[in-house]
Amino acid sequence: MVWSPLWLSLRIAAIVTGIVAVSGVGGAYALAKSRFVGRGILEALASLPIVLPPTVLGYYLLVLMGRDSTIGRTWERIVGRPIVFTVTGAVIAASVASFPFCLRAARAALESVDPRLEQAARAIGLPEWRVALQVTLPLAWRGILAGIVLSFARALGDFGATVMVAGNIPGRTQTMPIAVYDAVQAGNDDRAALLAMVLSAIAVVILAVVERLARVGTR
Amino acid sequence: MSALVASVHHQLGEFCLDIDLDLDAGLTVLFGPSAAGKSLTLAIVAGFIRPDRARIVIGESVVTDTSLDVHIRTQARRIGMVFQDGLLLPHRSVVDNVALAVRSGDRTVRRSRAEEWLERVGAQQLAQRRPRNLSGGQRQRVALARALAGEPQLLLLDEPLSALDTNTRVDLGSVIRRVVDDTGTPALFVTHDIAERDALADHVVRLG
Repeated sequence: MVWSPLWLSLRIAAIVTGIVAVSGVGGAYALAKSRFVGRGILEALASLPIVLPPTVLGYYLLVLMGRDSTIGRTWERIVGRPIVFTVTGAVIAASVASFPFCLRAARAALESVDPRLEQAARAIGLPEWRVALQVTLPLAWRGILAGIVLSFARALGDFGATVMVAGNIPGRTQTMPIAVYDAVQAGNDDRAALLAMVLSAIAVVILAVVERLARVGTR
Repeated sequence: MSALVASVHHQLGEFCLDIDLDLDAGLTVLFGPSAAGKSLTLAIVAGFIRPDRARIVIGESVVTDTSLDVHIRTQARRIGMVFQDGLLLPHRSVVDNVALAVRSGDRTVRRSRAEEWLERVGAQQLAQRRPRNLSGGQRQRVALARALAGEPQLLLLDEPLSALDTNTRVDLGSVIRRVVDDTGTPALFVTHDIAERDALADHVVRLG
């Protein structure tokens, strides 16, 4: 029981990282390399979760995906259970909260690649998809990876959005940060201290990885 | 048949480029002072920039015709390009850089073709090195091999010698001269340097 929040958090963070890595890097590539109408608005909207209070973000998601909403009802009809108060809800909440961290880091990394190198690659006949896969992404990988690691950290640590959407059901949707809160509320200081230390240790490791990526990044 | 026929009008802020080119085989030097639009001309011929008004024909292919809204993308232009600072891909070895430009064959074939091209420019001993471990002259030799490896119909050289010291410049100049003659690839060579022009040119076009 003590470790179930940790496994749940790690599981959610791993799934979120996968989702966010694909959508964040894809989105960053589109923002960095193409011009389209509404690009500025889309960008601002995608970054909103960074500045919004997490509970407010969670509230919006709850309104959007609750059992009375169109999305919530449709989901429930197809899948057979609601989005809210499930692990699925926790994954969605943490994904939305951590998406902009990956998007922004990946975008900065992609934009730092010298566009003349991409032109040189076009001049030797590489089609656009090979320019992206063999030139742009390999040259930006450190920054992209730093963004992915940051969004893993954000997903692991999310409290506000997750608790709004997925609740606090021990053994089912109680993630690490929520379990820390829960332990303090229940006066279970030993448990709170233990969970806090484990989360802190993970955070320190993540910070070290990001720092290292950023430092070696300039070659 | 001309190697390149280009008639270009392009406005870039205050600057206006107006140029008519009709290139024969051999090496043509596009000569002029800085900021005369020489590099811009190459960028337009390469398809990096869409000109305001232009008709550009490389060999027998119409690659740009603004009156018909034709703009063939760079990848399909069969050009080879050497930039002032090489622009080799820093994360790939020398031989990989050249092999990427070989347009046909499997991995082994492309690699051995790349090695042949490196040998032709006198850089075969550099094959396994990374671009960051090359001198300026070595980098430009590799860039030349890479530009030729795609067997282009037109070789574009954008001040390829100007970042080099005098001795290296003379060496690389003669390498360029030799491979252009050997392969019979028509070349458009941009420079503002009179000595380079006089040493290398079959034909000269003055700009500005």
